[in-house]
Amino acid sequence: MINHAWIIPVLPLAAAVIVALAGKRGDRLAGSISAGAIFFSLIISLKFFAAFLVNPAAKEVSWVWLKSAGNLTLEVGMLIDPLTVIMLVVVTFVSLMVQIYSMGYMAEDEGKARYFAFISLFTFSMLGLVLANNLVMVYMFWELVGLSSYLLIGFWYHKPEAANAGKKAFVVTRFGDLGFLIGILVLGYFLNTFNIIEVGTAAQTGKLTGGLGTCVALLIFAGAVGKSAQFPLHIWLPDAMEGPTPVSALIHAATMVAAGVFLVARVFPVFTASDTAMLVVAYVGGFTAIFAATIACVQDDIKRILAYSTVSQLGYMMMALGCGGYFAGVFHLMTHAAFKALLFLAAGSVIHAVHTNNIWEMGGLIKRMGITGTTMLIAAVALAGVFPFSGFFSKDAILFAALDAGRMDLLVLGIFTALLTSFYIFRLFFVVFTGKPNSTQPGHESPAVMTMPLMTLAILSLGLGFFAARFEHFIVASLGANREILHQHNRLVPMFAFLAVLFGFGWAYLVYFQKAISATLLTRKFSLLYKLLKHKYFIDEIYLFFVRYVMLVVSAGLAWFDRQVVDGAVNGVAWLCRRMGAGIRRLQVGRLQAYIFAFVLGLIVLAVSLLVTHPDVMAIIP
Amino acid sequence: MSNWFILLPEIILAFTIMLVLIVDLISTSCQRLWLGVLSLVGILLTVICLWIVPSGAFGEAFLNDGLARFIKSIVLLALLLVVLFSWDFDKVWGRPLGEYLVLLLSSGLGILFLASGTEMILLYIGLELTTFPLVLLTAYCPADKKSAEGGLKFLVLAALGAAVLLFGFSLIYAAAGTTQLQALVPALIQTGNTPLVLMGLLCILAGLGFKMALVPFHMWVPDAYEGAPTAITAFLSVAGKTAGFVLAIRILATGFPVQVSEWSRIFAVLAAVTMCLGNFAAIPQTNMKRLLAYSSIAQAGYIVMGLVAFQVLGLSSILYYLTAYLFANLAAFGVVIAVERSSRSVELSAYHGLAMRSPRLALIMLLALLSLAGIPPLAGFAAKFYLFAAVYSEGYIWLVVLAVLNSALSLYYYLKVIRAIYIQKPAADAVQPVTVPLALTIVLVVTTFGILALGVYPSPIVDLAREVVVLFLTP
Repeated sequence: MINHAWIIPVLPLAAAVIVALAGKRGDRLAGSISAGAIFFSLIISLKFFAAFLVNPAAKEVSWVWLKSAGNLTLEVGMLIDPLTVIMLVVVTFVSLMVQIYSMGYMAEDEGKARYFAFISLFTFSMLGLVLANNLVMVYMFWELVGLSSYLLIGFWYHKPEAANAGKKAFVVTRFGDLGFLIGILVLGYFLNTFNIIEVGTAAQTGKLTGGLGTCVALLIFAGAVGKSAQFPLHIWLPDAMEGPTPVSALIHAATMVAAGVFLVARVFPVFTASDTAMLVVAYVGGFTAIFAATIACVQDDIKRILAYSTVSQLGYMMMALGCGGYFAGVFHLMTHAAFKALLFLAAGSVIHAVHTNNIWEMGGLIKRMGITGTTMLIAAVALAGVFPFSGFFSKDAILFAALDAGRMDLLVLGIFTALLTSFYIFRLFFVVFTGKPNSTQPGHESPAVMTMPLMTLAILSLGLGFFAARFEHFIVASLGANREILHQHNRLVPMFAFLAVLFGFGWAYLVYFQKAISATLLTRKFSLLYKLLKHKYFIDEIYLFFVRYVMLVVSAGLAWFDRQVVDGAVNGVAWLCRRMGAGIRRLQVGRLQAYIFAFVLGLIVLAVSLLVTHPDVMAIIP
Repeated sequence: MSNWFILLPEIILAFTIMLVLIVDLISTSCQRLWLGVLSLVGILLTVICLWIVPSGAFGEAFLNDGLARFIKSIVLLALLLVVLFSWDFDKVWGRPLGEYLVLLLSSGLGILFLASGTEMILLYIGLELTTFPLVLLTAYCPADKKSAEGGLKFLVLAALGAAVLLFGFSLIYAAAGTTQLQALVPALIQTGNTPLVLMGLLCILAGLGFKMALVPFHMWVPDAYEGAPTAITAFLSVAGKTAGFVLAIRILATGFPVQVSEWSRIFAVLAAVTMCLGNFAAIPQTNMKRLLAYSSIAQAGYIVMGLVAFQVLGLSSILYYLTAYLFANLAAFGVVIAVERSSRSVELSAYHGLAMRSPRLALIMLLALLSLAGIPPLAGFAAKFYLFAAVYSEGYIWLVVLAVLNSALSLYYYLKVIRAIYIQKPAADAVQPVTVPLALTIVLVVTTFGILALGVYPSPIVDLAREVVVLFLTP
């Protein structure tokens, strides 16, 4: 059965090729073709899921791609374990929902065919990334998802913000990718393999210890930091919201940005082998979680609020992994995919209706957009982590993981993040959906093709949590056969978490629904803090300052060196080559006599060289 | 008596040739289509037969082994695709198709004998049967001055090359007293490396150098390639080269394994000179056929490195490289033929803005050239990877470094073509898309598929080549 797994990524690839080749002519069918392909991929993924529920043992299939003279082999292969199947189902499912939704959302767009070709290309790359059995392949698909993300952020390339955002995402993630690549090469050099299972075994048997192990783990983590928008490389994700909203839902909320978390989970033994690396992962994640959550509290753009929320939640997952909470991280990835995709799609539905991203220009939309409003409320409650919605279970798992690891500081940080999360998401909900309409646009409910995916995702956001225990055994099976699941069943943690959520909710309720506390008064009272948050801690400005005053000076010097010395050398070589070419061309005079002369001359030269190297032969000749 | 059955593929092809000749005589001009169909069927039957016939020897001169089967499959595939290239040759060029096909198939038949020959006389006859139809085909359009010129130069140098080779054979016969390649080994061990033997070997190497188009025996290549009808140029560059390499492998591996240190050193120098000269000379070219001619000289320089690393890895890399080269080169020539049909030009200027006029053709050319340059994940990359690895593991590090530098250099002129196709604006009068007939489309699809498939998943062919070579080297 595993031999057929390649069909899963190939179907969307085929759809991408067909749609791209058909061009304008296929405009009307583009959506159906790519959604159809991904539908079948989903069916197959679900079959795999069912099969692995019965027998969760990892299965691998691979072919040799290139074999070098040494014993380092590059393979093409697939590794399927519970982690893979979960990712397969998440990716194909969210992709299907988003594509169906896009048929409505992008109905009027000129470049529909291009859009669906890109999104199918992305799905292919993401599925390839998930299935790959070795790190070289992971890296290839890693770059491919980066490319498709770039293409889709800059989809409306005539808008300068969109084009710039695409570039920014591409360049910023490249910093992390470089580290990732170096990490892979170092691994290959020391372990002589790129295979994920073999790397895992090597790490578990203590071949990756001390400085080397930490170094490799941190290099790989650099890639994850870039792709999953962790501090300090988080700055590209909010800008990426310039892309079409369904793209934000699929790529920049549910799947691609989770690739960093997936990567850490995939090579988890490499991380667990080094305490330092785990510590770094945990604290980078924890810091990002609270850092991004505070920014989300004061944003005005509906998509940017959700973007910072995504950054924060990804930080949560990293924190869980860093604390050794493998299940917690992966499970939160899964539930987050459902409710965050839903939040984005609902936001898209709102934007579609009122043609603005600014939450203050919306208001009172619940009356006119019943389905969107209700589903968004469900997603918001799930994100806040209220029992019995899915977010509750995964968030609690994360907090328990911090407790198990004995990191009380991270536990407190996590609970405080929960408070902030609850505040900003209900702030968004109250401002957009309740109160008086502020918009001149008469909002209206979106067509069924858009609301159907909303409702489907809402059901999942509600229901996924009930399978937490079942999933726990399943997911942890990825790590090896018999790993004990231990918890300190502390009732205080969920209680504190719930209080935090309640407090956040109450705060948002008082300020934005009841308007008992004036928001403007608050901002004036804490004006310094407000400014700091509003400007996202001035991180972009710091980067800009650095780029403008430090890097540009350095690079001006380098540019001079490059232009004068390097280019000079390159141009010199090119000039030399051209001259040599022209010179050799002159040898080819075109006269037959010259050709024969060359032939015979060659023969003579060879004969002489042979005689010179064989003095004994020379001696025989009289 | 010997087993005639082993000769069956060659017999089928010979019958096909005669049948085409007869049908050509009795048919009217509107029935010309059947000539092509007949040739295709004949080639296909030969291929099928090739894989049915058991391995074994026919007498002491002819051996059907895995190596022969591999090479013959490459050659027959090239033959098949070139017949498709020439589907409406008579209409486009105004020259009879019947004789053309007969000559083409005869040359192919000659290569089949080269691939199986284990005796010097048979090899010589096979070589003549391969070369002289090609000379005639090069000069097939006498109204075109270039065709006549290329044909004449080819003829004279082919005669010279063949004479030198034959002279080498006779010297060796004088020393060893046998023309049977396997019997040479003990005989030559007995005589030792006398001047007679060394001179004979040297002449053989020069003759092989002519066939493989190594510098300085390469001078005929640009003129012949430019003058020949483009389909023939394609055949020359792929099948002609394959013939040279299989001839070299047969003669040197079977007859002269003891003298390996002599000829591998010579080949190392020739490889270095050949790839440098081929690449440098390709840079200033503005005629696509000449450019590809020099590119093919450079490619021969890479391939001959496999003979330098005369081991399982080296020889199997040659086989893989030839397969990859077949697809990439035929794809490139396919595009050249398509453009030539519509614009009557093979100058680089005819390719300006091709991407805007015919994006699919442009893409195929892009893939073909990048594969020739050795860019992953195309066939040429895997081929170069294995070849260079083989040479590296034999300790010729300077040669590998030179080859890698040369690969970078070759990108210069390949990218020059790509730049013309993708960046430069088309001439004002050339805005029509290039029309591609069905037969040509088939070739382009097959070759493009080959370029991609061999690059993405090289293992089956690599494994097959290795298996074949292991069997060949350990009889």
